[in-house]
Amino acid sequence: MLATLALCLQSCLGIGNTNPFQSKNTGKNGQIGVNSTQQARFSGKIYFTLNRNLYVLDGQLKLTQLTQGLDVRNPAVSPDGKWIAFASFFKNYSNLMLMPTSGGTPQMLLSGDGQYFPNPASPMGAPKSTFKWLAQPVWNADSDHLLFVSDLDKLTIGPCNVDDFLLDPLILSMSISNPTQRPQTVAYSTFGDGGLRDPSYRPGHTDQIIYTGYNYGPNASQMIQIFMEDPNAIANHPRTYQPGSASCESDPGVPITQASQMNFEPSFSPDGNTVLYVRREDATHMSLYTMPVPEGITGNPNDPLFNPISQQNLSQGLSMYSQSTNLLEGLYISQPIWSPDGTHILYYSFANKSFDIWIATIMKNAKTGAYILKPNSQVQLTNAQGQLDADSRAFWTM
Amino acid sequence: MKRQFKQIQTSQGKETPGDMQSNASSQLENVPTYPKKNRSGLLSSYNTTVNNAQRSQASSKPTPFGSIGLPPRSTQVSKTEVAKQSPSPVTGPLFREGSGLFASSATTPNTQGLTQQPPNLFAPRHVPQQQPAQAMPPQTRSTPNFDKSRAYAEAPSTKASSNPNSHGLPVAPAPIMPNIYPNTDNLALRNFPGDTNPPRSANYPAGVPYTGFSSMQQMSGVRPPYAQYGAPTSFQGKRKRHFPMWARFVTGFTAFLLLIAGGLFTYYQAEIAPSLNNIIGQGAIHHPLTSSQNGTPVAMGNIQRSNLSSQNRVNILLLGSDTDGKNAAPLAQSDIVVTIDQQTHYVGMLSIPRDMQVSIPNNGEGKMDAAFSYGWQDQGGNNPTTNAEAGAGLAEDTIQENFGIHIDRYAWVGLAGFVKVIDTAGGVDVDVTHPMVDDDYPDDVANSGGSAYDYRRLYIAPGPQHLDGPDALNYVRTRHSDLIGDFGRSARQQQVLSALKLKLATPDTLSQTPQLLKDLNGYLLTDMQLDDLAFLGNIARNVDLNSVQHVTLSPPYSTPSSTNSNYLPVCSQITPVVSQMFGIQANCIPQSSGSAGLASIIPLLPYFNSGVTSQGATQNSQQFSSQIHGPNLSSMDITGGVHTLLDIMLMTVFESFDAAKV
Repeated sequence: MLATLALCLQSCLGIGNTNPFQSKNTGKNGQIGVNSTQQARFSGKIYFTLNRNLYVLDGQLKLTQLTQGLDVRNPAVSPDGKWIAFASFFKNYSNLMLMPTSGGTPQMLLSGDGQYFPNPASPMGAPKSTFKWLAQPVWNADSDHLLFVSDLDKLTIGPCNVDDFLLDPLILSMSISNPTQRPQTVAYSTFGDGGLRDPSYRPGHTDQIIYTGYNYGPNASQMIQIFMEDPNAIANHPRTYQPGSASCESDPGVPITQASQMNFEPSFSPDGNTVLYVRREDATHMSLYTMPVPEGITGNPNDPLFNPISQQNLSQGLSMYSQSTNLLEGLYISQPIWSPDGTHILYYSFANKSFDIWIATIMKNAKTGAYILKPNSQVQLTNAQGQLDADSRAFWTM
Repeated sequence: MKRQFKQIQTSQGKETPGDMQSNASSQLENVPTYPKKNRSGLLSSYNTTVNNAQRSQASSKPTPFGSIGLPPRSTQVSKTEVAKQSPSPVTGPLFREGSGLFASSATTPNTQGLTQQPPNLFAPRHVPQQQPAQAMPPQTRSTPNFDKSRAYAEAPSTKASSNPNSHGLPVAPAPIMPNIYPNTDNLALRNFPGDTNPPRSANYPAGVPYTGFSSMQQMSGVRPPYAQYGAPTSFQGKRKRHFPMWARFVTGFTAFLLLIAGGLFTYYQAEIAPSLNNIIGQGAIHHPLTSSQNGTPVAMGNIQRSNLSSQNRVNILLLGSDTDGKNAAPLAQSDIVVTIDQQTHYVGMLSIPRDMQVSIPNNGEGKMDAAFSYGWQDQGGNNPTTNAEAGAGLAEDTIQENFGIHIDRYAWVGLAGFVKVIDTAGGVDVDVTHPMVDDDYPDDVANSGGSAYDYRRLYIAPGPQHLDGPDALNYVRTRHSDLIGDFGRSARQQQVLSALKLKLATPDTLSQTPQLLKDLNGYLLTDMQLDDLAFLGNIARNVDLNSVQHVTLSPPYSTPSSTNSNYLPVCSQITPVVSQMFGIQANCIPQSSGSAGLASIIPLLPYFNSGVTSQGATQNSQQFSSQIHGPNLSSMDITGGVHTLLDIMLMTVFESFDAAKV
């Protein structure tokens, strides 16, 4: 009797309760746990998606659902804090959406809707379509221009005479103040290789962007590299660059990581001087690395004939790769981002059959100056129980 | 089912737990000897009553409709015999090949045939109230309210019988009369040393005051059981311990085992058998071919079937369809023939493109994927199982006609089954190596209201993520997302397979088995039996993938038609490779470009014309039936069988033998 009473008392008072997760209602989708320990405390707001619905978690561990039934992916908050841009997916296409951070009905910024139409030239009768993919919007510092990934240029027969399904998504930009203007092509992809992903502007350098490029190398080996590029290089040099197959495609992007290793999902530090990225170690394990940003590889204002893909510049682009430092390795480590103040990083990891958000304190090694993680600072922020969409990147804002 | 029958029959008639105790228990002495009919003890009583009841039922009672029990072997009625007695709905020249013992009653919905089947031996075991009255010893039929089983159960035996007719089972003393008489209590029947009251006996003079029997005396004409034999001598001496500890342990342990076995059996019958019976052991309905001379329908006769493991060359047709056929006759987008030579250990996979133009018996020239659909439509019924059997039969006939390949077994897979299995496993977690972009992905699964020829677009983001069933199917099926073609597709399939089998390899796999079977139910159909599955599973797991020959009859084995989207066979290319793969003299029917509708009537091949007589078919059927009775059905068989079913499904979905190897 006494033992039972003691257990009841212990349970009621929470004595000896080692569960660090505080249950949070996610609406009709159930509940998730949020780490309420001091180690998991953070400042600002973290936007992420659960079961394709957008949520925001603030530093007081208040979880708020912002959308319902829109298949939301990759939210991004404008630097002025007014807007949230995200992609909303449908069966054959996706739209770019905007909604106020204060809440409200999302508005469509750009539609990818279209239709299939016959393609008599196809021997198998495969039709063509005007549907488009629009994904991964990210903001410029002006809170007006967005970078995004899309196959918007499909059905445009270019110099390489390739179109349709071989046109993989590439990077474009648009202005939310003039959404009817045709978006500007920023970076080309190689047809059929998978396209480009993870674009973002370099903080403090609006003339530089970074992204992941997927290509095939010799012997059909997969090459996944991180590139930097001047977002206006293609527009400023018409007929110099073109999309197409590997033997035809030309793009001003400069790889900053070696092709021998698969590196992707880059994220600039708030000061713009360091890139945090993922390296695939094997089929299930990934590592987080940081590397300094190579300077002067996207353009030279003093050299009108600057060629970003010259052999000399390509070598310069890879110069910092050797200074990459490993932060951590784990199961399905992915989608790293920085906290707005640069003191923490956020990433996804896989444990107990579920993807979850983890955070860690990052700091510079006093001796080497390289970034390291504060020992024992890694902490699981969420216990999403399978509800976190691991292919949708989170966004951390003030 | 028949295996179950044998197992149960054995446990009841040959190797009862009681028998296992007989040697040890028969060594005990000082056991009161009772007449043979009064052999007592819980187990012997149970066996006697159940066997009597079953014999009685077997001779008189029909099996209730829907029962899945099977008769004792001596009273079994072969499938063919049943068919003779109760004609199948499939009438005329149509016949059901290998509609095996696992065929559910749903496939032979004929109550007349069922009522002729012997009793259901799998009926739950009951207390002996069902025992015919004449089987009871007359001494114990004292009152209609007397619960004999309860009395026995409450009177544990202390000794084993020395009576050889008792099988040495522990024998109860004169049962203590339970409190079943009104106004009595059990104390009335006590007779312990030191009692001053007269002993219990029928010879006790009536009317003599005896408090112990006072209540009993009030019930004139009621005599306690065994009263005529007087009190056992062993009870007249000092009180002894009623039940040795080891006997209690053995009895308890045996009861425990029986309980477990009964529970497992009930679990199997309730959770596994219904789905399993709907999946395996089905048939292939072959349609009549029309002779080229006079158009007279010709029955093809039964195709000789034997256990796969006894054949040197085995050809298995894997058919993959977009839907489960609930709304329309499904096409078979995947038509793969797996050929296995046990002697040389050769394994080959021949993929016949869905767009290859072939001669479809009685349907002219058409695409290969339409053969299954035509068979489905020709059957015309509302039963998807029967329709699928007809589709499979016509697909087999088509392959036989066009390439000379005899099909031994088939498996039909609906892709939606793969989706369900993935979802049952809780999805899979994979690292998508690069963005998957496909503008012309077949929109043929869960496309309600659409066409089987519809397309949809795919964009799967790269990186680690969770894929549910539909996403996983998209990920492994898309062909336009890799410049390296099928190499990239194979790599993706290996990813998903590894993730799936990692999840299915968890200790709770056995508990997932029923749900997995339910997932496959309606999406997987095969004429294979568990033995065949075990054979195929063993082959699949031990085959050297590097030695598997995979041939797809795409160009140069075929060439695009100039008038439609069909691919015409190039016989000069096909004949040598099919002959080499299958060890036969391959056939190849040239196709005309632009032909449509019914074309020339297909001549019958010698294979069909040499059909077995009906008598031979019966013999084959019986032979086949007896072969699959062999090994007992165990949980390992079921689990292994389910895994092989999953392997078959994965091989069909992925069109690769690798699927079964991971």
